[in-house]
Amino acid sequence: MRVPLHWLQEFVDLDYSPQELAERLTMQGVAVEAVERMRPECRGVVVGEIAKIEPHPSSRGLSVVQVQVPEGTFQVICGATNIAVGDKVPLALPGSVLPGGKKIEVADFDGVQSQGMVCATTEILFGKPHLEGEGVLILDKSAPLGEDVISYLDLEDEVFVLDLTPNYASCLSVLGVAYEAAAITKRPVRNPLKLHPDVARGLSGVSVTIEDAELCPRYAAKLVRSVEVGMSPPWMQWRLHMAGMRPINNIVDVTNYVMLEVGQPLHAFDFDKLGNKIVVRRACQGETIVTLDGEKRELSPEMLLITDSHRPVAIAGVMGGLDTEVTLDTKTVLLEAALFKPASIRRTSGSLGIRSEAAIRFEKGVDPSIQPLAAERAAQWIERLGAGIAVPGVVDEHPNPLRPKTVSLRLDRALEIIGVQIPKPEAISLLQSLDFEIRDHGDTLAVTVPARRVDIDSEIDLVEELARTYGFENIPATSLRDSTVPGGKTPEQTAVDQVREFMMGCGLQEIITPSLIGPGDLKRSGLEAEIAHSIRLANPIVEDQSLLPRSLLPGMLKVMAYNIAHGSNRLKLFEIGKAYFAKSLPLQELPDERLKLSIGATGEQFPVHWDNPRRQVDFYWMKGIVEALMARLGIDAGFVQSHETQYHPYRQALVIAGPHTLGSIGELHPDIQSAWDLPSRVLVAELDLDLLLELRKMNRTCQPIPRYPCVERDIAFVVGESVPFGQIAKAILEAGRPLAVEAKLFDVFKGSWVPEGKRSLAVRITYRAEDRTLTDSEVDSVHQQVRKELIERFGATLRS
Amino acid sequence: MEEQILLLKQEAINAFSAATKMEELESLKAKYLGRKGQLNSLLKRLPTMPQEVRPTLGKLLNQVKSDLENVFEEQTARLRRAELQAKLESEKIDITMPGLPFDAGNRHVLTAITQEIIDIFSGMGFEIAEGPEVETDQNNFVALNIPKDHPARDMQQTFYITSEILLRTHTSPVQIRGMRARYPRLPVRLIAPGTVYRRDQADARHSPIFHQVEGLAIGEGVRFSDLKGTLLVFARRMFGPDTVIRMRPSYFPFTEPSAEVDVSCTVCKGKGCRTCGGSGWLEILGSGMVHPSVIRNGGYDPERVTGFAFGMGVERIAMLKYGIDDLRLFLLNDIRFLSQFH
Ligand SMILES: [Zn+2]
Repeated sequence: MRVPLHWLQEFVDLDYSPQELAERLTMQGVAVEAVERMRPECRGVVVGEIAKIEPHPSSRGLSVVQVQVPEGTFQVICGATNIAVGDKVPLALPGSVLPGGKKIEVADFDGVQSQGMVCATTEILFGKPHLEGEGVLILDKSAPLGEDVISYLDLEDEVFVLDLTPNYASCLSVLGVAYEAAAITKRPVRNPLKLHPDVARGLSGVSVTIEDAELCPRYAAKLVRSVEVGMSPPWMQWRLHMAGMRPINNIVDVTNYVMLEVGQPLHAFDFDKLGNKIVVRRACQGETIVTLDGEKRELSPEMLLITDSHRPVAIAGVMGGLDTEVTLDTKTVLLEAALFKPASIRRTSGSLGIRSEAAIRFEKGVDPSIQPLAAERAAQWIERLGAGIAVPGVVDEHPNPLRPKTVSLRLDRALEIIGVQIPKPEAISLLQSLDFEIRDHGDTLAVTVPARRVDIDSEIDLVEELARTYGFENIPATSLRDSTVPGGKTPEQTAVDQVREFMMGCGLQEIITPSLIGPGDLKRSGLEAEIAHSIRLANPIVEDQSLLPRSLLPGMLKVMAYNIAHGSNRLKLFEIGKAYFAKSLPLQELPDERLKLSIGATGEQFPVHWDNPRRQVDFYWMKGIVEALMARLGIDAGFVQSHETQYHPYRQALVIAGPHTLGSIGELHPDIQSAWDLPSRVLVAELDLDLLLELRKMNRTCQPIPRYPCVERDIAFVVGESVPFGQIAKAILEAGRPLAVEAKLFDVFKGSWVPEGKRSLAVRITYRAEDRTLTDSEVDSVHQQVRKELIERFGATLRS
Repeated sequence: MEEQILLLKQEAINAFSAATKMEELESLKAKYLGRKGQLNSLLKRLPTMPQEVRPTLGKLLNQVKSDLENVFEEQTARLRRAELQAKLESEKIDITMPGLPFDAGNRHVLTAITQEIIDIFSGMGFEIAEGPEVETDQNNFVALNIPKDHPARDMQQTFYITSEILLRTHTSPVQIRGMRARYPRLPVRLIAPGTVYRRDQADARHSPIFHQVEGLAIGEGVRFSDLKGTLLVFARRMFGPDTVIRMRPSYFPFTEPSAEVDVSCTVCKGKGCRTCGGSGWLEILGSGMVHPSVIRNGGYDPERVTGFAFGMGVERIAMLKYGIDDLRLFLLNDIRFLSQFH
């Protein structure tokens, strides 16, 4: 909503500067986004008087006009026929500039010099060529010669640009804003509708039938005869323009003007094309109408129509029909001021894609008490503009008249909710300043709500009115008085934080990737089969953001690809994010949202440095991180060979703990690596963090520090390379039981002297007893058993 | 002989002092003080001396031996020091060469801000609550006073999955879930961080995916003034102790009275600058008193309890705090951006 200040001042006195008032209105809830100073941007157009009119010597239809200004007489060539000697007109002197930047110069018209131009309204207001049939603007005889026309017409104004929240439907009119301003200035409102309180009901010759009173609770109509359709005066056109509307003609302009004034949308029909029988009904299936904008619209039964008893003439509250439009030939006008159900208008304007100013107002809610008054007001304006004669009386079809709303307010409770102490009389006067009528019943106030305030229904609404007129800035800042509560994080939330800290401690950067991805991302990540399991949006913006996946891998790879393409060459990343598991598709109930931990790395393990080894991340680097995390969480995890398509077939593993699969780790399959344009090997891991949290060991008891020293023995042997080390380690600990407590692999060697198909392993075994220092012979004997087991079970050749 | 002894002493002292290497000193020690050394050979000649001078000479010899041993120790210490010095000199390094770099992991800037917000409210007794991103229309809208056809649905363009299941457009459904999960416990104080979705084209100021933190306090006698006090504490912890806040009436269907909350501009301290558009204020969150019907939808009796709620955009706070000007940076994950925050 845009509110010109002079217009606002017609309804209420303002004792504040525009900036101050804007600030106060904003702090009262009517947000003023900007205060704009507006004036038609023309310079050098002054009031002149026509001294002489002669036909152009050679060009038919043109006149040579002498225009008098204090500096002298200017000769201009003019095509208009509505001027006479003695008329005051706007004269654009040579060198003047019209809005939009057009400069007026001395010109030659077929051998006759034109020293400027006499202007039409459209030219001085908008800098556009005058309309067909639009003559020169004739000013009042009293206009002082030589005065700047814009100043003379008093068009310059400040405009409040409001950014209204949906509850301020009442501020979609200058009058509504006047009531808000009045609460600040404490001045009375001059409500123009109260000028015609006793509208004569009934209008002969027009019948209105409402077939659906739910969608159309009220319909008022008023006739204006002897209409002369033409331009509305400059001040009205300019006000409409400042308010953001386009002037059309005097009749349509008046309907828009009254809508902006009091908030009631009006429609003007050419009565001669409409006929005298109006029926308001729902559309039939397949019915169509051509609207004012020339579009043919398909209608459906949830849409409400205005009909002339057989064909539609308007889509109720949304847009009129072309057939009954007011044109230059219109002689009689029927003004419609109706009330329509907001939800219905909202649905209709939404499905037709028409966001007219009328629809916007009906959707938010119009004052249900003013329809006949608004129709009357519009007719009066047409009369005042000399554009027609109002036919006395008004049709007011109003099947279920509304009674004024009264809401009861417990003042003590209201003040307690706000947290202020205001004396009762002051609180009452705050509400009265907003035009509420109060009856004091002691414990409660009976508050009668002005009909215009369609947003007020209940006690809490009045609490808000009280708070905002008192001023939020005057409310103190206090502390919650409740008994204290523990607050903070749950153990699971704390554990998630700890996992994050641990990942950061491993030198990984946290990322947060978009949870919406595209089927292409899954396909590119080797997870094509996941597309069918992903939850799909019904109305995605783009296909690339249409799925909620079960894996964080595509998001991880996308970030890696982006960073590699932008010059990074080593990446060590992790994400803690959600994966979405539908119980069934299409979705019947909410899916499981599980937290996952995703890790991704590529490039060198260590930052480049003169003393760092230059080694790429590999499977064992990633496995080390996962093992360390498991140890940190106290989960006894193992790794088993897996067969997932996104990984290198021989460099991947499931991470398991007892019967649970915690996730997987692996080197990315080279095809997928190249699909994402990643230059070096990529290691990824994805773990079910919710499951990790479930399985984590919570209450640890302290283990005593070993009292007796341990003994370490190294053993080196050559063994078939297909024998997994995991089995060897297990066999060592079993054979060395109970003294062997740890077997660490510290060297692996292939080639050279090691026979084809074999590898040399070196293992450091730790022997320890809880209750004594081990003797050499004890260790020798158990170590011997281990050696024997390696030879017998794996055919190992011992080297030491 | 006495003369001979003193001569020897002088010669040995000179020799010890002139030694430049440990080996040299050791061999000089053998030469003068060793079993077959010169001092010993003089000692061996002692019995051949007249009886009356023997005690004096013996005493002198012992004295000289002890003196020379002291000199030897001194000289040993001198050479050791010199050798250590030489070794240390040979170990001189270029201390301007770079140290071994460590990869220090960082948290994502959104995590950092979220944790900061959570920590502030945890300290005021708020629990951390969570809710699903895939929500029912009921929890996201209807239970929050936004029935179908409500104009407020225009403010929040929604991604739907089915007609009744959607991606939550705000963290406010956690108000409903949080109350229901705790009923009839009082007071309820929770803070709920999470991802939310709006059907907006991504640009510098819009993102279809962003993050919010919701707050809720329900109890007997919770007042609007408590909301103001709580948010003032938050703003001062988040933006500095001199921060002031301003509450402007606003509208949310699920709170009444509702307020937008501004903080004094972090850049110009309220004088007016480019960041705050000259107003001196920065809008940081929406808030209000929980609407009675929302309290009822949460299971509590609005006649008995009242409450406040607020919601803030994590990205918005990060942008203000760090001067970030493009919303798209948060989910782009450019490590040159991410590594600036810890
Ligand atoms: Zn500023």
